[in-house]
Amino acid sequence: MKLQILCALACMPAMKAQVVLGDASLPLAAILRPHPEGELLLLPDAQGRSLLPAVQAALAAPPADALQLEAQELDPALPSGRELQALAGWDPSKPHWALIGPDRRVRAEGDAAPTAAGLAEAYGQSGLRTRLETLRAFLREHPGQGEARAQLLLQLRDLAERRTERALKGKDEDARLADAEDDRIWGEYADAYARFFSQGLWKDADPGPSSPVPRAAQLDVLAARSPALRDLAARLLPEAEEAVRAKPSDAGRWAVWQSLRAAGAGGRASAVMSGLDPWPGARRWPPEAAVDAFVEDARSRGDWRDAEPVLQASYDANEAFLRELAAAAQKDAGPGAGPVELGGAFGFGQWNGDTAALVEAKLRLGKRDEADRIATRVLSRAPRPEFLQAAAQLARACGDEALAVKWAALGR
Amino acid sequence: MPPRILVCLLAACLPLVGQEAVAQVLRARERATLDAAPGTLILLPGAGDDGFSRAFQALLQRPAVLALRVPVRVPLPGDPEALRLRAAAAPGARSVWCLVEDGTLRLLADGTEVPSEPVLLEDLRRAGFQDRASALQAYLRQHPDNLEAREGLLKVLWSEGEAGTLRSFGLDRAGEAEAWRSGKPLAPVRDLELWSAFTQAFDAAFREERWRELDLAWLAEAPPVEGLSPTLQGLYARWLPEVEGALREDPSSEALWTLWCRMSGATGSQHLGALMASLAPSPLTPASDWPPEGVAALLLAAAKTPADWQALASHYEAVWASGSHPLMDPASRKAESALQADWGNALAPLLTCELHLGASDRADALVRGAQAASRWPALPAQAAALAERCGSKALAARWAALGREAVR
Repeated sequence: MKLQILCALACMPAMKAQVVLGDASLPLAAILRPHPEGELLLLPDAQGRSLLPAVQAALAAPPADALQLEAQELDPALPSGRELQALAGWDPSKPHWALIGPDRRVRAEGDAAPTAAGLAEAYGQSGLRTRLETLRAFLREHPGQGEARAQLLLQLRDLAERRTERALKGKDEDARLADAEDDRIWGEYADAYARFFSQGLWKDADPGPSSPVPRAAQLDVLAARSPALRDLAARLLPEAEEAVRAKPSDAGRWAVWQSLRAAGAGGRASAVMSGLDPWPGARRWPPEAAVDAFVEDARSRGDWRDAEPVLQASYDANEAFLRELAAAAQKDAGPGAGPVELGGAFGFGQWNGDTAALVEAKLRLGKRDEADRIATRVLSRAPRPEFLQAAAQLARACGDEALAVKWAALGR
Repeated sequence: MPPRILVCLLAACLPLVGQEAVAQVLRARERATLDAAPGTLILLPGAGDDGFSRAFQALLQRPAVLALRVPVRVPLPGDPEALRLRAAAAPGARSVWCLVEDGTLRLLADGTEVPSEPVLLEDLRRAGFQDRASALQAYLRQHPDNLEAREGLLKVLWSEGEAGTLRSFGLDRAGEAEAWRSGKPLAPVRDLELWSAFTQAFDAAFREERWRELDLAWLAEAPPVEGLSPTLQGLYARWLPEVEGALREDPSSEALWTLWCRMSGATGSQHLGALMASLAPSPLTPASDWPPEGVAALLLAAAKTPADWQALASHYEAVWASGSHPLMDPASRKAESALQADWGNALAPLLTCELHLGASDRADALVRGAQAASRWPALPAQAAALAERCGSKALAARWAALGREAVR
């Protein structure tokens, strides 16, 4: 049933307007297809005045925030915009918004900024169901459907994040939610996460690029602000560590582990890897995902003692390989040929993430001369301006202006 | 470790002449693993003794010897190390082979004639060489929870079984798939000999419920040897229900569908339609997006019964009804590639399903509608060829005629 609701102007913060991206000839049905929950579509007036900021502000505020709807402004000059105009029959002298279902039926509309309460009421009467409602109902019938459980987690997380940001606005960076507020905002998410984690889909070898499981498996970035999630992370950490030890090359498992650590669960990459040996056929040890975890661990704790030897071993191996390649190139060049320098030909011989991490480790541990020797060698091979700049910035960030100046000047 | 792209960087950065040594180093590094070989086999053929070299190379190609992955080197004449080894191993001999310990250069074994396979294998094993499967099994006894070693073991055992099956039938790995399906199966004893180790490892992974954590994507690229192995067919039949159970938990998983197609194809199971009907994709997944596009071609190949075709037809009808299709868009000129993609991904699969269901009228309406909208010159011929493949000669003739009408 088509409803007409006249809404009062609400105060709204200036917000970035959304634009229609992608294929300009996309019809309305294609825009609506990914939104079985419906979507708010808007058209500006003939002068370009838009209700989008007001609609977005209303959607972000309670009680409309629970709808988790998207708002999108269409271009009246494009097919989808013309289609909406024809569907709704709007007067182009005013901007409009409409709540439209996947069946292209207009459920509610207005030519003034809606309030959050107005939108929530309109939605409640529309016959549409939010993604959360749809997923909750589905999971009551199909409790083992892991993909849907992952999608539920992502929806709950999105809502809880916004509510946490609102609740802690203006407070300290380390501020945490009070218990009652924590339960209200994160309670359902915490229960859903625990259930999802125990189902174990996050350990599957190949979830696929579009699977929601890997993202859902990582505990929310704001988890540290939630006492309930901190406790949950601590409880789940041992299982996550066991999973990483079973597959230390798996970046996805490390990502889950890191998210639990970031929530305050503790744990160290070196402890996870302790006692593990490379298996026959392994090409690199520790695996790249583990080295990344060591570096992230070092940065977050400000302690590079575990990461430094790992990074040094990798650097030494690369240098040895470069020497082997240089000897082979010399042989190829033949007797009497001048010295062959290959370092600039290969990414692993140049300034890169791993080298930067090693140099940072040296600087943070007070091993200035070693840092200088490594950086100078690597930068001299390929003194590209962006490398020199990055190295100089690193030195500056580590409090060594003299090295920053020296490295920046290496190309001259 | 440097990535494979280094070979390309090399080609871009160095002169083309004389880069063989560097290329060899890069290739060797690509193959290199951390478990170092205990030694190197050094061949020192005497001048003119080509028979020695040929016979040794043939010996080194024997599967049991290959499995030990022995590094082999043939030094240039006059190489100082070669001279030293020759003097130490067999002074005065014409041709010599030496097994030398890496690092210490200690002589582990040597001879002046090409040894028999059992003798060489004994020497190599005494020196510490192990085939990869044995090494992984030994590792797993110490680290039973390491899934990457398990993955490695499955791959190695499959390779060995596959190679043995190839040899048994004189087949080529790159050969046509039909050659695999039309042969007599392996004799029971040979079948067990080739496949029991892999079967045990695969069984264990499923029994311990760790199989989903193992990367089995490589199986999709392997030749379909299952058609020749009753052991493998029995293995898959045992565990197919587990894979179907996993699909109930994650019906959009391309990895699970790919594994299911492989296993059900090998067992001759025919219940794609029933399986699809039993699955509940997420309510947030549009009908046109399930089953996932990445496995659609596999599912079309797996379809056998009317129920299978009906299940797929429902999917492809949803695909055809959703979104915009270049083949149905008369308003703008589409690039040939867009029209071909729409044909391959949407219209052709839908027609295939409808033709297998005997829905000729529907199929005809689809083709005529697309032809009227797109005027794509290639459509009549492609549709006619598809109809021929599906056994609909009358439709094939009708659609071919569309092309002739368009020309007039």
